[in-house]
Amino acid sequence: MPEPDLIDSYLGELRRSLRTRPDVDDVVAEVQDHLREAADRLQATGVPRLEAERSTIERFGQPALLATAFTLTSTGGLAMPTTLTRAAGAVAVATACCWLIAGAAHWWASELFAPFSTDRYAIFGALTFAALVGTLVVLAGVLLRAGRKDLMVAALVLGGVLAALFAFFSWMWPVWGLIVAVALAGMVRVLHTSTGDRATADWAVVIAWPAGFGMFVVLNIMEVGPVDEWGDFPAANTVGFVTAASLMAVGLVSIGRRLLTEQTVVTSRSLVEV
Amino acid sequence: MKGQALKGHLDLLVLAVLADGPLHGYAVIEQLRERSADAFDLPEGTVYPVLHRLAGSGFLAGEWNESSGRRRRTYRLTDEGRAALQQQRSQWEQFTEAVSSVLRGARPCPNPT
Repeated sequence: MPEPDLIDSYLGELRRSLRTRPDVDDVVAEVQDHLREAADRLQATGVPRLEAERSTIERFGQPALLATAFTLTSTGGLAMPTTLTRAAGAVAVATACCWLIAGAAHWWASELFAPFSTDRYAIFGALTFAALVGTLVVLAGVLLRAGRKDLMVAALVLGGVLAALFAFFSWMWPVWGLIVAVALAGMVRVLHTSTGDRATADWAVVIAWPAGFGMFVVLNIMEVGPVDEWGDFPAANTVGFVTAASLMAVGLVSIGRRLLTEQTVVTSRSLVEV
Repeated sequence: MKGQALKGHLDLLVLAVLADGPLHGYAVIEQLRERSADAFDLPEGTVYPVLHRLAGSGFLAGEWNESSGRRRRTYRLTDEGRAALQQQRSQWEQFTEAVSSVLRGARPCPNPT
């Protein structure tokens, strides 16, 4: 009767534990290389094969332990904060100010302040673009902090396009804002799982645009304020945008403060805790 | 030394081991054990997630090759990883120096009898 291959059984169990990981084949191949090499070396010292495999597996750790460690690691982020992630924190705080200025600029560019002017509208668009670029840098910092360089590149490209569309067609902010909210929800989730710190204020960036959109719709239905030359209600538009911009500022300050003050000893949280 | 005592230091140790040249996972663990004179006692498997995290963060670069008919991943320190190691090593040295200074100044406990 052939001896059971303990390593094969172990690898099968490990594969099941890690089945949701996209790189499961690579992880299993790497573990297989380790286990076979360790068992071969032990066997070379005179230990029977079955005992060598059993001992090797015991020293390696249970599949469930490894799966937990991998899960923690994939969301555990950078081993340590870097100058770049700290810079992203400073940018977050600066961007919060930029959103507040963009909010004020929306009122200034609207017909609530003076008849429509292309110049004022362009300045508002430029400020919004600056705030969006700042937000994008923060997003990149958070993804980098979480060790998701792969996502970071895609986020920067798509986010750059979205920021340009948002700024150029800024009158369509309720639409762009809702798309931004989806990206920001992902960012907050990544930040929370990578740092283990789930500050409630962070969610302000996620609810910012839906809240602004809601305000815009409600005030339009209520027909609040004067009607402009296009038959719209500029007050509804401005209040909606200012609501969104203000909430963005609150959330970004919370996120920025975290990235800025993160200590190495906390972020190099090691797997051996599991 | 149990894993809990290594909390927060394993990343630095792995970077330090790889500073001398590329190694595969098994060799990294072997080096950790040898250099610590068997002092570090942790499940070997837990080193792999650390390697993956450091690679994902750009501190290490992994390369696949064939060895004894098996796929083998070898890790090497990137420039970013080398800079991080230098920074973390310096912080660690400052920390241990500070602790040593305090301990050197400690007076022996008086004999209770």
